[in-house]
Amino acid sequence: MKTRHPLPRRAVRFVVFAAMVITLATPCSVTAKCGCCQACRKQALVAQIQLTRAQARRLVPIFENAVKLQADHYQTMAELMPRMLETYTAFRDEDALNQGFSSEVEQATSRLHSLEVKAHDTLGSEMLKLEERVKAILSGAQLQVLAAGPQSPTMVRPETLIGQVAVGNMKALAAAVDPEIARTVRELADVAAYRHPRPTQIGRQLLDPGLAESLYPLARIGPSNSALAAIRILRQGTRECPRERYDAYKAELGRLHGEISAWNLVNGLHLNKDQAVAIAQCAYAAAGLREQFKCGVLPGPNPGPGDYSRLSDQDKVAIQMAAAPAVVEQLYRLERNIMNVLSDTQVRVILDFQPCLLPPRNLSNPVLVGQAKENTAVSGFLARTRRLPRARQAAAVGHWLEHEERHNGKYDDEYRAHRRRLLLDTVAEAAQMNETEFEMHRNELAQRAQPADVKEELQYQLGHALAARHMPGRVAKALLFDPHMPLLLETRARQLSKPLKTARRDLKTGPQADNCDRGKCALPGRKNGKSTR
Amino acid sequence: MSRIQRRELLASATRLAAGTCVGCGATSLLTTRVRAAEASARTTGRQVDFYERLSYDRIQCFVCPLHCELDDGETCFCRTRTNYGGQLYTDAYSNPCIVTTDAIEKLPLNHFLPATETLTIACGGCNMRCLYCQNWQQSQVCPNDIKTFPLTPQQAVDGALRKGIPTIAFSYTEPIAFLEYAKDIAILARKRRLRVVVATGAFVDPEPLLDFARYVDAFCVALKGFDEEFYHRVTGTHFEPVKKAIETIARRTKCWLEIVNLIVPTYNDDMTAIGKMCRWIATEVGRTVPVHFARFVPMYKLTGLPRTGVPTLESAVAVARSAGLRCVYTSNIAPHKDTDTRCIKCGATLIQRLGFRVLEDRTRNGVCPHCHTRQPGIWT
Repeated sequence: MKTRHPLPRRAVRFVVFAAMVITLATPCSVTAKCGCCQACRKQALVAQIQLTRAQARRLVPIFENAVKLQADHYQTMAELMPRMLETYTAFRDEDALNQGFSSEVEQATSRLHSLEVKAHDTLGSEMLKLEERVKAILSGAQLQVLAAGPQSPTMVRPETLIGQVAVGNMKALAAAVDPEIARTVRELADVAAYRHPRPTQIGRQLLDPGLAESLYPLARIGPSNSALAAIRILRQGTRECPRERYDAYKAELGRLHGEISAWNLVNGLHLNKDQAVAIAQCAYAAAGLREQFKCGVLPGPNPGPGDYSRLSDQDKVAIQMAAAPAVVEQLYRLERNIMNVLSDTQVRVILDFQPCLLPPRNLSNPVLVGQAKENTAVSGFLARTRRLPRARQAAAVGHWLEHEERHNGKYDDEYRAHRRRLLLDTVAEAAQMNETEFEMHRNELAQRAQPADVKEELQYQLGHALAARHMPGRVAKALLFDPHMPLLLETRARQLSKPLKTARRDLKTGPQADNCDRGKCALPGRKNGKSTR
Repeated sequence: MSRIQRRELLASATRLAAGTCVGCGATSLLTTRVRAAEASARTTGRQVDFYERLSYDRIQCFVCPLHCELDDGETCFCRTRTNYGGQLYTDAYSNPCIVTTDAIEKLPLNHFLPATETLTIACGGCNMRCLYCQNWQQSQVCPNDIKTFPLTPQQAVDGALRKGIPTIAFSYTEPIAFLEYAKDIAILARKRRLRVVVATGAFVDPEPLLDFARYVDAFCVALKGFDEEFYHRVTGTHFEPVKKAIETIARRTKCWLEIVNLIVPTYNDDMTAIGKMCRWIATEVGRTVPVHFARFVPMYKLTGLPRTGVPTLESAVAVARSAGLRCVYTSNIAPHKDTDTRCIKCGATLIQRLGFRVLEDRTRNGVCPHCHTRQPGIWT
């Protein structure tokens, strides 16, 4: 039932609007709403791109949709995160022991992780759709300004060049001087963006709740109640999960993710004690080098920390840029040292390693010696699709291609058509075989239908290009730049130095194998060809 | 009412008794024939080669050391051989549950045509009851109780030839449980110049083993422990026959032999016992016989145990080397330095592996390129 407002409608609207404008337009230092200068920065951005009132009015509904989506995501994650923290911590503890996972912990982790990925991907793809609508409103020049914003991922940020853990900085540094590397980096970014859709700079800047203070006054429209509630959730959190707690959860989860992934790699490398100790030393040396670099202790003509701290930011960046190649060279040498400690096959595992929460059973070979099942995803797809009627096979291939693209990045039309033809032909061939023939040729057919792993190929290309320029690559990223690694390696070395315990248990206790001792070996008869046991 | 003479009564009774006996005999004979025909229809009619008739419809199987005694309709402990009316038939014949192509390193065989593929065949059933079986879904059931793929020996050999695969392997479950099928494939394969390799627990009597070995090129024997108590309590079988079978393969056949020992934490990871086993291998089987120490992963009925630690495997490798064994490997663990093949003389790395993927083979037909020493194994 509609409730009638006691005051005239126009008056109410005016009062609400005035209140909103006053509240939102007040600088953040006065209201202390956001606790940072995000709103002020957004005001500067709006001024920089010269957003018109007409544009602002068209942006408002899109913005409101975006904040509502983000608020929903906040609430979903606020509910999930405490459970995730508890489960991931148990998972990390088991991972650190390297003795396999208990099924409850493994299953719970898998379930929560898929919920987490789904929540992030859903928000990402919805935000992308909204971003497309934003792009339709803005002019080319405005989009250019936004795209080249202060946080462009391809831009070299010398102040964090070495301080950051990611090899991304190396990539950016190399990309700046080598167009081929720049192309590879762009392609890798495209694959990543397609696999896990996330808004770009444009979306991130214009669909951020911090824009409210600039957008509503400019548009001269008051925010809807639901948008206000969403903005409030995003800034202050909910009663059950205030913003500070949410941020703390998020930071802790990020740390756990990183630590688990690092453990997965360390476990998969099967390091011995000497290797663990040697790599830990290199990792500490790299951490020290990065720390020195951040503090201004630079190789070559060193201005010294005292002088350095008094320099302007621009001068600091200039000095760091000049010193960067020498530091990069030192990191490269440390990476070489690690590669000398590792075997070729261990290096190969690092090159193939993808950060993960749930590790594959074996990082290089998922199947055990003597174990029967070794079916790839493509092999399973062929086994399912060959039994379908011809008419439904084409649809199944279409779905499969979408699945492939989620992993490999978007295919161009020509390659997509080629893959489609290849898959349809392979499925048709498989469909003509009887069960035995198919089983015999299954691996061969799957191998033929297997798509090239674009991401892996690009990463290999990039690795070679970086090595050619004497820049640290994936081994350094995994073992030198990971902040968890030194501590993990020390723990592993300690675990490996414990004396070997091989006390034999009393075999009379515990499960016993069936045998023929208590009577004859013969098994009872069978009925209708089925065992009666 | 006429009176019957005593003599007539006795004569009638005798005739009746004789008639009954003949009738029963005929019925029994007919039943046997029907059962045999039924078995023939159900199992493609392949009789087991090694069994004896104990009485009219009671038989004893002599394929494995359990020597199962079976009444009519009963099945051996291995779940694959059934007494149909006094004749022992195999239920596994032409009835495999696994038909796939694998790397030969997966058996594992590291000194036999490295980096080649095998057509691997396995049927349901096994004469062992290992608590940690990796393929228990296939090995601990009757061949007819799981999904199978009809494949005659001729089709198996033709399939391998068509795919250009040089070797047929019997693995995953126990080939001794489908010995008749494996042997018929091996006979045909030998005629068509294909190699045959067998991964087995070697719980088998010497006679069938020697009969089968005539058509086999390589055995990969799982020596699961080195004492009777372990064999009895963990595998449900006995140790001595396995030991004897390994000696038989090494001394009385020309087959290539590799030995796998799965190290199960707290069950058989005692280094003293491992040392004893290695010394026995070195003296009785041969110093150049490759020995693989495999990592245990919780499976089947032993899910409560941890995985074997890498230091345990490395210690076992060290113990084996100090016992004089020349080719010692770790398996189920990658990457690891002890999965590579090294020259038995100069120690140079000859074959580099990542799990069972060969990354690089530097040998020249099994000869070390550095010191020109011929490596033990079959290379061409």
